[in-house]
Amino acid sequence: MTLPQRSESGPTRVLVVDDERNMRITLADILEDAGFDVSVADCGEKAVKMCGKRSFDAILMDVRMPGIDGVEAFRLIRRKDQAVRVIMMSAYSMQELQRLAMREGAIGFLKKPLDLDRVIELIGESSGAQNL
Amino acid sequence: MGNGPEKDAVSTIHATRVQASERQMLLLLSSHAPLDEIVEQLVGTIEEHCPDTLGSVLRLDAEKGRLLHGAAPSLPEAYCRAVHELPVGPCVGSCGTAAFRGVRVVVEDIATDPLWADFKDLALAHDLRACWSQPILSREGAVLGTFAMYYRRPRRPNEEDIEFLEVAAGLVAIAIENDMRERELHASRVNLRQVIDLVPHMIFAKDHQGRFLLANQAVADAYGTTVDELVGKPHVDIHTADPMEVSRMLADDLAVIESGQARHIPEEPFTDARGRVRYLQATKIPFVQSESRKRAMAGIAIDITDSKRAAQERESEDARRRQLHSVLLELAKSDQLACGDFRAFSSLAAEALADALPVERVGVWQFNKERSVLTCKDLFERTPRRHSSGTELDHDDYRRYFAALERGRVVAADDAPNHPSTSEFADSYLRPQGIGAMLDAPLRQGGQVVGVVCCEHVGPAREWADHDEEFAASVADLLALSLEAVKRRRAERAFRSAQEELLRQQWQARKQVEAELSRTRSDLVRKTRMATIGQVAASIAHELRNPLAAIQNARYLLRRFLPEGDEKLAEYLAIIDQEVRAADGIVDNLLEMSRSKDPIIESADLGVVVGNALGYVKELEGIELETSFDPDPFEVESDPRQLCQVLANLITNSAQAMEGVGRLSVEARRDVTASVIVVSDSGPGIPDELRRSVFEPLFTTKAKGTGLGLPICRQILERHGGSLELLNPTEGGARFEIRLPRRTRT
Repeated sequence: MTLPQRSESGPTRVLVVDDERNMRITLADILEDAGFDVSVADCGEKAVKMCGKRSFDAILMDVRMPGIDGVEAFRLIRRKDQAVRVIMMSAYSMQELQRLAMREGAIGFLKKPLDLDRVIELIGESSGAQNL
Repeated sequence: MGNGPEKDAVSTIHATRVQASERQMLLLLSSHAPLDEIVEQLVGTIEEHCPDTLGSVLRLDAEKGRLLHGAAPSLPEAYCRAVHELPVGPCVGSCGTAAFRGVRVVVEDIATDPLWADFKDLALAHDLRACWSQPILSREGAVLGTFAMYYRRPRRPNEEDIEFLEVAAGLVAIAIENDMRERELHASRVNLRQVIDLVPHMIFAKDHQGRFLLANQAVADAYGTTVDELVGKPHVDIHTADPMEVSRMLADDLAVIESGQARHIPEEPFTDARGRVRYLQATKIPFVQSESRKRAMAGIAIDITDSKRAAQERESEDARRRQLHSVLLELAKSDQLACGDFRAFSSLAAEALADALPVERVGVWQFNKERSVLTCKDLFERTPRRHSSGTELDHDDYRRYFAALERGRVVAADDAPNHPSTSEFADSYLRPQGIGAMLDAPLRQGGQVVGVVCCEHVGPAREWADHDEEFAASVADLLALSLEAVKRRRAERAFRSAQEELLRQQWQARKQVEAELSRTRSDLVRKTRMATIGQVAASIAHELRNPLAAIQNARYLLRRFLPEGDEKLAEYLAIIDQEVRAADGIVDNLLEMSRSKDPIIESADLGVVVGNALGYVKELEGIELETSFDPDPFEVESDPRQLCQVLANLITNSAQAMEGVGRLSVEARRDVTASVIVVSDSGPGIPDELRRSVFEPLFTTKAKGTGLGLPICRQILERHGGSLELLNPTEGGARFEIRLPRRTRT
């Protein structure tokens, strides 16, 4: 099994996973506008499938979704790709969930509505770190 | 009868002789000479008138059936002796046969007559040849004896002889019968006398002049004289003691005689010969004297002095008993007995005994538990009317006395120093105190002597009456009852207080359980409500936050494309941002509730926490803030973030209530168990009717309130083991008190 290739150069590849369409498209536009290469998935299963096909620098993942939830999808993706940076987002600010996500290697846990400047900053940091 | 003229002449001569002798004999009969003398003279008269005749009278002893010698002046004495006690029978000479037959028996020749077969030798030996015997008959025809005429030659009686026989026998019969009657009369008089003299009551009869017609021995004794002296004498001569008495009695007698009515005198005084006053109960009855036909009175008088005196004594004794009884009743009804105050009742009983008996000293003594020492609980001295107590007696020093107390209901010592039961006290106590008599009664409980009441008579020996003893014993019983009442009261009190304590404990426990139950119930209700609200809030929060997030995203994008200088659009985008944040704040608040976060306790400076809290409050402008910490700085043990949230909430409420004008105060102090933080304001305060509701979830008075602030604050503090209360306002505004338990540092 070959690991998907991470881009050595070019824009940071970001996967946005959210079952809410409006959330998904606005986020994608905002991130593209910020200069990221953005893909979207509307559920956990799709996100996992997409991560098997190509690699992302960062994944912005909603926690609560139909089917496999964000945490489970995150786990499955991390199993294939240890390097991917994941930012969890949720309408809840549940500390338990937050701790769990961080333990699994998430770099951030953001509460909705999102502080979008912070989101861009976090994704930028993740790619920056990678680029170092 | 064919009597010739000569015969008639002879008869006449005979008749004349007989009549002459008869007259002579009748004269004899009328004399008061004794019977034997009369009979002897009668026989003599016959012998005088009938020459050659030897007369004999034999008297019948009817019981023995024998004839006894009566009179025979001419018969030989030896013959008379032999004939004495001659049996009566069908063939016993002339007299025995005549007495047997009841008719005349004429034997002309004793030598040949078969009736004399057994006696002819006796008669012939005394030269007696003929014997004619005439039975002496009473008026009723009973044989009284025989009259016989003996002759020394065989001889046949002529008519004149027969007449003599009959007349003589008849006259002897009269003499005997007279004698018998007289004897009977005499005996009956003697009997009557005996009987009335035997009667112990006075029996008497008086005539209208007051003379005694009859009097018995009792009357004679009363007047100190004899019956014979009395009879015939007027009452006044005899009864000399008191003239008033005599005139009254005589007046009564006269009234009875003159009225012919009997009279009963229930009681009258009478002074006897010795000057003693007696009391008589008399009955006086009128009667008419048999011979003189004069009116008189008979009476009987009974001496009732003794029974009257006995009745008086009985009456005074009854009165005394009644008096003692009423004293006893008073004691029994006294409060001192009822309320179980033994000492007070002892004093009362001692006084009652001393006054009622009366005696000079009365002591009430009680044994100790071991019954070894007797202690005086009350000694009452009657003359000075003084109470004292405390003297002790050793049981072993007075063994005989205590043994006597054990035995009986009372120890009644008439002569106390010499009485076997009380002589032990003689030298040490009785003589020095001058006590002559003691009347002591034991107090018993369950058959045991537990004390004694002593009545001491100062003076010479004194005889205790039955009712005195009975009274002392009854008072002792009441004293024992009083002791019993003391015990019972003590037990009752103990029982009551134990019962009350038990009830109090039960009540308290019940109250506690009820309070706990009600607290638990309301806790449960509140928690359930809070949990439900939490769940709803969480779900709403999720549902709201996603759209809010999308709106926020969209605003973000739109701002990127905002044309330079389009201020209106910029302002609107800012409004969107503000309102999204406000909505998000409300959601945050809602979600806070659904969290059950345990506080992480750490020490923090209250000043810093208050400062942080003020940072969350927007409506502070125009409000004067005042903090007062004791000590200052004030360290508080809590979860600082949660405490900050609580304070922010309380300060926000106050600030909103004051609407920009007023004073807000945060004070902090410590008491033994808790840190106390009071947040108060000068706002309008909380109306009384709402005070209970402010901690209810969803209750709010604000247009924009969720009704969750105060319930959340209270929940937070309760998780700290503390509390949040609304205090009664001192002046207008609201005052909330936070209590946080103080933890001892290890």
